[in-house]
Amino acid sequence: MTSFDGFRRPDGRVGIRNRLLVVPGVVCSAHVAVRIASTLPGAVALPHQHGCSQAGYDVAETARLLEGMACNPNVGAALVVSLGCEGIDGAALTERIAARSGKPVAHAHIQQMGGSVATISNGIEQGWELLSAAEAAPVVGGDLSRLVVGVRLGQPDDSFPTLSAAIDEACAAVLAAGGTVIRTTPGGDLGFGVRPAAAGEHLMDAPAEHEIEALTGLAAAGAHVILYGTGLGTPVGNAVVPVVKVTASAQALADWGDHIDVNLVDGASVLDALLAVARGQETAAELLGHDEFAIRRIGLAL
Amino acid sequence: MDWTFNGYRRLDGRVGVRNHLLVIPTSVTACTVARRIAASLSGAVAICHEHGIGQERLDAVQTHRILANTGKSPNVGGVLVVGVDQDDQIPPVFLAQAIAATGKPVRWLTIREAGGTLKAIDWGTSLLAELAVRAAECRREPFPASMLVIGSKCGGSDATSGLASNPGLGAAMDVMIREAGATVLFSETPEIIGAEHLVAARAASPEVAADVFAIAEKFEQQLAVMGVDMRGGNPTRGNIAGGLSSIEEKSLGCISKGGTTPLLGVTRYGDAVAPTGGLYFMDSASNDIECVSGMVAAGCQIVCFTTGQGTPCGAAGAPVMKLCANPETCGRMRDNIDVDLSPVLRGRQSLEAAGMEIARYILRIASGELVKAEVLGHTEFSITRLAYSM
Repeated sequence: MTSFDGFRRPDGRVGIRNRLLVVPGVVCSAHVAVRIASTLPGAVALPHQHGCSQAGYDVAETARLLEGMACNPNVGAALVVSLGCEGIDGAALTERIAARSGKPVAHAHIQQMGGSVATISNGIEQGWELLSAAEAAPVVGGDLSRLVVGVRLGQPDDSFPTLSAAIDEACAAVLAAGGTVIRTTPGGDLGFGVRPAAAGEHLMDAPAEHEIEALTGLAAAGAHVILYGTGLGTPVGNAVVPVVKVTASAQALADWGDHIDVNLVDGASVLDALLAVARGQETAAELLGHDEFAIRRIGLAL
Repeated sequence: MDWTFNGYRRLDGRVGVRNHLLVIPTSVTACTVARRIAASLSGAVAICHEHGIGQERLDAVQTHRILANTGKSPNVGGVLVVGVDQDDQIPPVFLAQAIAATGKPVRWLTIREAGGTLKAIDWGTSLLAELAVRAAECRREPFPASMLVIGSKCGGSDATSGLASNPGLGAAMDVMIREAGATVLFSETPEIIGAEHLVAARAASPEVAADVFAIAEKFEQQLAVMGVDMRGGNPTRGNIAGGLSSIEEKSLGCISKGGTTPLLGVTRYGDAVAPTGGLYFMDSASNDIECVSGMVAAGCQIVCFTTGQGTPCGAAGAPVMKLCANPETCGRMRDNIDVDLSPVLRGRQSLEAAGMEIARYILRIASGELVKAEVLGHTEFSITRLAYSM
């Protein structure tokens, strides 16, 4: 049994979550975005510190990653919140998300709507409509062939041979079924946060140490779920992608027990956990509300 | 005019205008826990950020320095440092010790030692409650306005910024320096480009003038290394829509927010500026949140922020007063604008009168009057990034 029920997206993908993503186009609108999301069940905000006074590559990169997050199949609808004078054009971002994913998308604009309070209020109203639209997504059957599984391994320790073998085995099952696996490494040939053009195994360029940036890259690339193998333990999650913590380390279990989804010491199966999460079971990171986000930038701010 | 205010005495000799509890995550990984701890007590603010893991040395050092200096701000009455592990890239104990050097109460914890997120929130909330009790023992008492360090910033600029709100704020900064003996820190290196000779001409010494030229040159060199023209990022799309034709035009308007007194020095991003009186320039990005965060780290108790198109920007740990001379924005974004300077634009109020009014308002804020960004809960924070993540 490797099937699950998911949410059909207009682009043909199947989501395993149905979130409303509230995307600030710029650090200046992050607070308003957080307030909007906090009032709407099932909504998550993506506060970040970019989007203005950035040069060249950084502006385009920020816009591209925000777009990628909103186009993730676990997102049922998106609300872009912009200030108005920032480097990233909120209206254009909204249009790109709609054009690429076909999802319900709306735009709230602080300078046009008249400040924080008016925009929070307008955003909540638009958000309710978007939530209803997301709720209308048809439920369809999916299987491993429809999944994009991100994989990140933390710092190696003694438990790594067991840990890697267990994750490899689950990935092999996904690949054998015709699914997609994205692993991360500095210098990988798939660009950071770029959606793979075909199923199969891919190696994405991502920082080795900055775990949050690596998870963001996988989410922006369209991963449905991320397998995070850890020996030291870590609490992190992601706003749109369930992050499944897998460990074979007794130390990680002792220190981070609340955060571990797959305990290999007790013989749990990574594939079983993956399927349970695809069927809607929440990960420890989701239950604990971990939704960290960070994006890469290369240059100084203007 | 009585140039005094009621503030909080700190053990290091500084005076706060607020008595915040600050929760500082040492890394992005600790942010969720820090935010939840802060949410459990009134008056507590978490300064969430995207740094502290996988950073190149320069970035890690800068992140540590800005976090430490933000904790040292005189507006902060107590600090809780939240790390993931003792050997984080920024070890929580080092950060806590750096801040504790001011004599204010500081505690720290790691999520690993707590045993995960929930236990860390539980433990951290107890520690923060103890800090809250100690911070609450502070009482406001009268101090001379010369104890104030005031940040002067502009953002979301349009044609009205250079015409009225920046010169109006500049007039207020002149009053605060000349009459009240306060210290003023203005900033935004990208926005002296094209006008650096005018800023340098106001330098109190040849050394300070050389520093002005040096930061402008360094900035342009860094941009050249990135292979971009700064016109791609500044003036921003919105500035151009607001009627600003070029960075030179934007700069000419921007530098007037520093007033007309001699420039006594150029300081590094987020480095402490002592309340010794006079005008200083901080070498910083013009990105609103990065720059304001740098001013708070530098010890500014209040930031005055002019805007043309309107922005809600606040700060974690300091009141950010919003001034605007665009009558449309003052009406549309009245929830976010504290001072309407459109009478200056219309010629119905002189710059001197506006400057005096703003200076008086600064003292009321210093004594506890809340600005709109505080009422609305805007506590933005970010740190300028220097390099790629590892």
